[in-house]
Amino acid sequence: MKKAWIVAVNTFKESLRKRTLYILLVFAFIVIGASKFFSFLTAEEELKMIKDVSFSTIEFFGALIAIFGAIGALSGEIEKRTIYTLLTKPVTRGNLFIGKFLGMCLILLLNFVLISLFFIGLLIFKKSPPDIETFKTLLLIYVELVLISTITLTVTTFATDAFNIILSFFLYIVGHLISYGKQLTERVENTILKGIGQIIYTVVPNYENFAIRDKVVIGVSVSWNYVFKTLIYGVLYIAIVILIGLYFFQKREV
Amino acid sequence: MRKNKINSKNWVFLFIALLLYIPLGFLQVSIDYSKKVEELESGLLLMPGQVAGSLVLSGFKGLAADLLWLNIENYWHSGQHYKMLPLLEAIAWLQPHYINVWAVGGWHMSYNIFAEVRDAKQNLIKEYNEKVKKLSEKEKKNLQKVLAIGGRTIYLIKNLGLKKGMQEDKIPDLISEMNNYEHFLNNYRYEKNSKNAFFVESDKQFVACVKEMLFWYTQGIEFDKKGVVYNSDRYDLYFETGWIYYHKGMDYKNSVRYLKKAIKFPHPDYVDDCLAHAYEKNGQIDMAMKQWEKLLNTDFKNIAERAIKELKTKGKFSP
Repeated sequence: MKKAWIVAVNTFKESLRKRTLYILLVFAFIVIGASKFFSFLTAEEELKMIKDVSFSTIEFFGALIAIFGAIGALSGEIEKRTIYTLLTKPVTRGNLFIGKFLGMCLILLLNFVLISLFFIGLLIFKKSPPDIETFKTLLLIYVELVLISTITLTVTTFATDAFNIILSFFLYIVGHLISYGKQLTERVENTILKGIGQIIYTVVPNYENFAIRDKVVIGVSVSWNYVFKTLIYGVLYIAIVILIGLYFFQKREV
Repeated sequence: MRKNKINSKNWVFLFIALLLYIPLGFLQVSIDYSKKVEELESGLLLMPGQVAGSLVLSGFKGLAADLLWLNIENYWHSGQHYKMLPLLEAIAWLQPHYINVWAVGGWHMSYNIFAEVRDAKQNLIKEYNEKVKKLSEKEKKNLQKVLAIGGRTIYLIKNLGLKKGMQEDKIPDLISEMNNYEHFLNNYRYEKNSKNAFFVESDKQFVACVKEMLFWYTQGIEFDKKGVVYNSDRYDLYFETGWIYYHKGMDYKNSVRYLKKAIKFPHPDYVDDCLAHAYEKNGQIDMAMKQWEKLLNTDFKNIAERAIKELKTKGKFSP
């Protein structure tokens, strides 16, 4: 675990050197800052818009950082052939993979905390300090981002970068639409099709579970029971994806 | 030998991953149930417009609703009221539990657009009345029916929602009356550019205006009622509907109906106050007294005491 942690810290430091990260961060700040322009609306509408824009920005730019960061983390080592040096040291492939995963968690956390602090500052400036529901939403967004990043990292172990980008975005969109898909399959009468629908529904990451922001901004309060269940779902899914990633990474020829 | 070891270890990873899908499946069922109970589910949506559609695809329903809301603001300020209607519907569709959309949408239609439609005819009414004054008695006699329609519709335009109520059961009669006028005016023969032409054409506009006012009033009510369907466990939209019936439509029977439903859910004291007034206006003095009595232990104590006293002595309190 110590070796994995060393890899994680190095991945984190490596990511900090990338310009893309800062550009995305600046864009996120601009978009959230721009939500202040809604001041011509009533106070309640303005606050809703600030929250909507901010949550969406945190998630969208977070997803970009998660996907592009994770792609570079492992494939960069392979392309630059630094992976040979790493693997000749007493670092197993498992250590390396887990280290990359932890490194991505750290970089996502840093970005997430920075953007969230900016958002919270904006809320305080608008004299509407964040409530517990805001923090629940942020927590679930972070777990969703880690899940997105882990899936991308795993796909890196067996696919090309281009395919990985397409697949990650595809899963991101499908993961948000899967609930609608389930509603559709429930109407299907054919048992086999229904079964296939159910399997797809379980296998595809259900990102909609984490999307409580649309409800929170309109004043719906989400129970801790729901938040905990979704957190466990996220952790379980991340564990599954890591295990699959380990399987493919062990098999991969570098 | 070592490779074989790694391979078998690999299969363990995959096996455990597959096994973990079982609790994940059960957990998803449990999350779905919680979503249903806590009303966190997203309804099955088709795409209301390109922008909204593409955003909904990525799970940004709130943002899509906000963009539509900004469009509504634009349409409102540029006087394009009809364009607001589908957008309000679309937002309500995206976020049906967002009370503000229903409340503001209903209010926009029943109050703001209603008033805009009426105000747009003020100059024409002024010109019409001045021209009527200049008519000779003989001309007035010739135009008797046309002028009568003008008088009646101008009265309605000026008083609907202010001095004259729009009770739900009377609206069909009013619309039928307007349709009859429309039929008469469409078949009325007159020379173009004659004096008569102005009065007939103006009457047509007045009739259309009354119909439009009634349309927006009922649209506002209907919009709020639709909101009630999605938010039937909260007082808000029952109150909004009841208030429009009371204040705008002077339809006290329906107002009482909705306000009575509103007080079944946790609500602020002003809802009780409003219901007390509605009872009185609806002729249910006993109920009004009971309702005021409920308010004796609240911030409305002074008003309630005065209301009870006046209802007992004069049988009337509400203005």
